[in-house]
Amino acid sequence: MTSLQEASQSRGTLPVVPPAGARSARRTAVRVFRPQRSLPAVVAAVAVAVVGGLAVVVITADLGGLTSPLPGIDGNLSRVSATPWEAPETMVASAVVAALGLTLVLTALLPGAGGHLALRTDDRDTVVGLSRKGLREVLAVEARGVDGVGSVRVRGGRRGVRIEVRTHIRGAGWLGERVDAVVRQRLEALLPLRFPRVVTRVREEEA
Amino acid sequence: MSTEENAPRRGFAAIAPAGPDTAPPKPTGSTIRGFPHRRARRTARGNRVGLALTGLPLLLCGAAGLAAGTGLLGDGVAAAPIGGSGAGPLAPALSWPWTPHVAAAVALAVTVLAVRWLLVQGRSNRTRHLRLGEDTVAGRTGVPASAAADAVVAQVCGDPRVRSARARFTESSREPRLWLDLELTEGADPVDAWRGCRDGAVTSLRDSLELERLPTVVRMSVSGRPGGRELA
Repeated sequence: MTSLQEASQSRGTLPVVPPAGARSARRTAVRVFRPQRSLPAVVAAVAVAVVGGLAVVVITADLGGLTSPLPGIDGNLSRVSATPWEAPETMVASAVVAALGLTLVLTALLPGAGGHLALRTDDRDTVVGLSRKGLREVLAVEARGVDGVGSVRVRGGRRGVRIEVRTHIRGAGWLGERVDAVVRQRLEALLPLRFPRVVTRVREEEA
Repeated sequence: MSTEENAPRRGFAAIAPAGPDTAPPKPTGSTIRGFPHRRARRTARGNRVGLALTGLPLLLCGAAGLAAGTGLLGDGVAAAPIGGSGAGPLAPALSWPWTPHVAAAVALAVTVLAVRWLLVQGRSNRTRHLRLGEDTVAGRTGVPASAAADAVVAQVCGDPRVRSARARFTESSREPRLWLDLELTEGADPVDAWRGCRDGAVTSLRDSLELERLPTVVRMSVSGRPGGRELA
């Protein structure tokens, strides 16, 4: 056994043998708390529906030989089709369209941040998540309990938390380490599936 | 009690003898396999596909426009109008008589798909009824999901760590999944809270619904203001 394994065992953070079903429980928890991307989907769906509907109206009116129900669009289309590709407005429009497309593709591909920190349950039928606000609240309560801490502000969430401690004590570099240790211990006790990064800063306030 | 009420009616006659002797309980096997919250994730997957399918053509068109404008496709292309000069490689395809019809059909299909995508966002797979036990020839027993949810909430809220709770059932009435939202009081330990909830309310609900498994999602938040704190 290496010294690292000994250290992790003595701290009780890593179980040597994960219980049966823990892996599927972990996968279920990660999947449940993946984001739904509802807002970008609604915006994109409305935009596509409006553009598609206008295209149907314009094309079918043209096919039927009717006067266009939307003369503004027809006028703009003929003006746009006469603009050369190298015109600055065309370039800007192309760049905007490309950036929009890239944003949508990245929104679809990147895993995204769900609103909850998934906790380990080792039970395939129980998935538990702590909201970002809840996590901040739990850590703030813990940090406030450290002697010498005046006020605490916790920011961030699932991926990483930033803890800003204000104190009246002079030269309180040790306080940051103590708060950091206490917060990490609290996080370990929560048994998160992915341990968030913790950054602690101490600010000395004027008395 | 009148004789009319005592007279056997068709429905009651069928239900009355239904018991362990006429319909022996079969051993139920849970059919839940793999990821239990399948339908809840389907909209999310659809959204990813939809966003990618919307974004990719935009990205390609924008990139092609930039390439044409900067002269990567040749100086002639850069100076040509967007609508084409009428002699480009696409000219024969554009003058084909069916082109506008095809364009209209494609635009219509895209619009219908987009409207469907929009409608899917409001889809909820809540279950209104939960079934109890096995169906027999005599009939089936059910309980409104709201009644079961109220019972869970009442039991969960008995825990001093829980300030408020909300429960709903999804997927199927035969093998429901429970979604439980808890708001904890400040200073409560979330791990203790979910363990107590699972071993208490969820287990007793599973037993009373005669279910083998009740996959549960517990979402916890913490209230910033505990009820009893004095402002001094």
